[in-house]
This record gives sequence, structure tokens and C-alpha cells, in this order.
Amino acid sequence: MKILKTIINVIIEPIRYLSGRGALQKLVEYSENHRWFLIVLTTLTTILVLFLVYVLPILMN
Amino acid sequence: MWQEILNQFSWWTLLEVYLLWIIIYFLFKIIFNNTRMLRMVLFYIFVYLLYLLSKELGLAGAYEVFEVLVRVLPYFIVVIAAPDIRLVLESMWKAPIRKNLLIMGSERTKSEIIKAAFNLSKRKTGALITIEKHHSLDQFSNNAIIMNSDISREVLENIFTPNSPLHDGAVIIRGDKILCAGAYFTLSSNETFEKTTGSRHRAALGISEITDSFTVVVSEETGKISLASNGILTPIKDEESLTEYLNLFMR
Repeated sequence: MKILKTIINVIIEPIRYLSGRGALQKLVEYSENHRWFLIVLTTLTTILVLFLVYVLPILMN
Repeated sequence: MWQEILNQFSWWTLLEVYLLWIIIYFLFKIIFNNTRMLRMVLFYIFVYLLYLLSKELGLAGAYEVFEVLVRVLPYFIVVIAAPDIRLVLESMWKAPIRKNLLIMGSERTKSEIIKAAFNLSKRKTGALITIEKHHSLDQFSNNAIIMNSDISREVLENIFTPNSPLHDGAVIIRGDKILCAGAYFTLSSNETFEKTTGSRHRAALGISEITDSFTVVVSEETGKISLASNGILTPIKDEESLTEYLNLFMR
């Protein structure tokens, strides 16, 4: 039972931490106040998608 | 190997990058719209990680359950987040800006609005008066009762008289005319405001978040007057401060 509780805590605690400290609210406010944040995030995600689709299969072979 | 990687790309890849960028930007715009959306997406990522974990560890039962969840959850998220998605779409495709056609109200219009607001406030009659600026509010007036009448204190007070057919919606003012009455706006879902913020105030905030309009709100419960502009609600104490704000806005 103690192990199970520890496992659940390990999963739940980071989520509780994020909600409790208002980290998500801060993140939303930051993205609203700094337009470049979404642009950079989008560019990085696009590069990641291209890497996963085109480059990774070749590297794996 | 590098040659093989470079062979994968062509001129069409540029188009693909462009399309991908737009779609991903649009998705991020929805996700980072508010904490509720962000929380739902984080929850989905969490479930997806558990799905991958159960797959790797060969947990057949858990894998079956998480596989169903991973497939079904996006539909639930879209249904739950429909109002947020609508708000983002509205703010991304704003109505055309009326820069050359901009006509702000005269001194008489301002004074009539102020008088009407304070008379309604004294009687504790709820009111929502939105003054249009650069962003056209046609999409809202199209579904409302078109008036095109001259602005007067009496007309405004009459519109908001309780139990009259138009008292529930907003009045939209364009220049020196009451464009329409009974207009309905998308409510703001901003979580930083008190949970008790009424639907009239939320509507005022909602329209101020997606357009550059200016809204005068009179509370039905307290009779207090507030102003909504750029997603901020400002309480008004007296006629002087309302005049000052209107002079600043209607320049």
C-alpha cells in the first residue's frame, strides 16, 4: 500500500504543484504579454515535427 | 546519410513548413488562451504518456483503457472548449477596421450617455452600452434590433427599462447614432475575475477582449457603473471620471 501511495504521489504531485502555484496562469499571462513566445514555440514545434517525419526514420535505419 | 536527408526535401517542403506553422500556431493560440484549456491539454499529454508507458511495459488491460482514452479525449476537449475556440477564432479574424470611416460621438452624445448611465444607476437598472471604435461591431448588430436612432437619455433609459423586450442585451453606439439594441456578446471566460462577476459584466469584458470598443455597464444588483476596455473592468465613482474616460476614448 505504501509503494502504491508513493507511485500515486509521484504522478499527482507535479500536477498539484503546477495548479497550486498558479504556474499555468503565469504561463498564459506570459504568452499574452510576449507575442514572440508563441512564435518561437510554434517554430520549434514545426522543426520538431519535420525532424520526426523526415530525419528520424533515416537516422534509425 | 546527409545526402539522403537532403533528398527528402524539395520546394514543396517550404509549402509544407508554412502550412504546418500556421496550424501549429493556431493550436497554440487556442491552448494558451486560458488555464482551463492548458490544463486539459496537459491532462491529455499525461494520459498519452501513461498509454505509452503501459504499451512499453506490456500492461494489456491498462493499454486497452488508455488506448480508448487517447482516441476519445480530443473529442471531449473540443466539446468542452468550444466557447474558448470560438473566442480565439473571433479574435483572430477580427472584423475589418474602419479607419477611414471612424466618426466618434459629439459632446452631446457623450453627455446623453453619461446622464442616462447615472439615471439608470440611481434606479438600479442594469444596462450595457457599447461604443464602437475602429473594429466594426456589425457581426453583433446583424443579430440585434437595428435602431439607427439619435442618441438621447430618454431613449437609452427606455431601452433598459426592466421587462421591456430589449432590456437584456447591449446597445451599440456608432458615432452619434444608436446602431442597435438587444445585441448579445460572447461572455469572457477570464478566470482572474471574481466568480461572482455577472453575465452583463462578463459580456462587456468579452467584447472588450476581442475589439477596441468601450463599454459602459450599470449593475442591476448594486447600481454601480463600470467601464470595460481592453479586457479591463474599471469602476466609476462619479460623473467627472466617466466624462474623463469618455473624452479620452472618444477622441
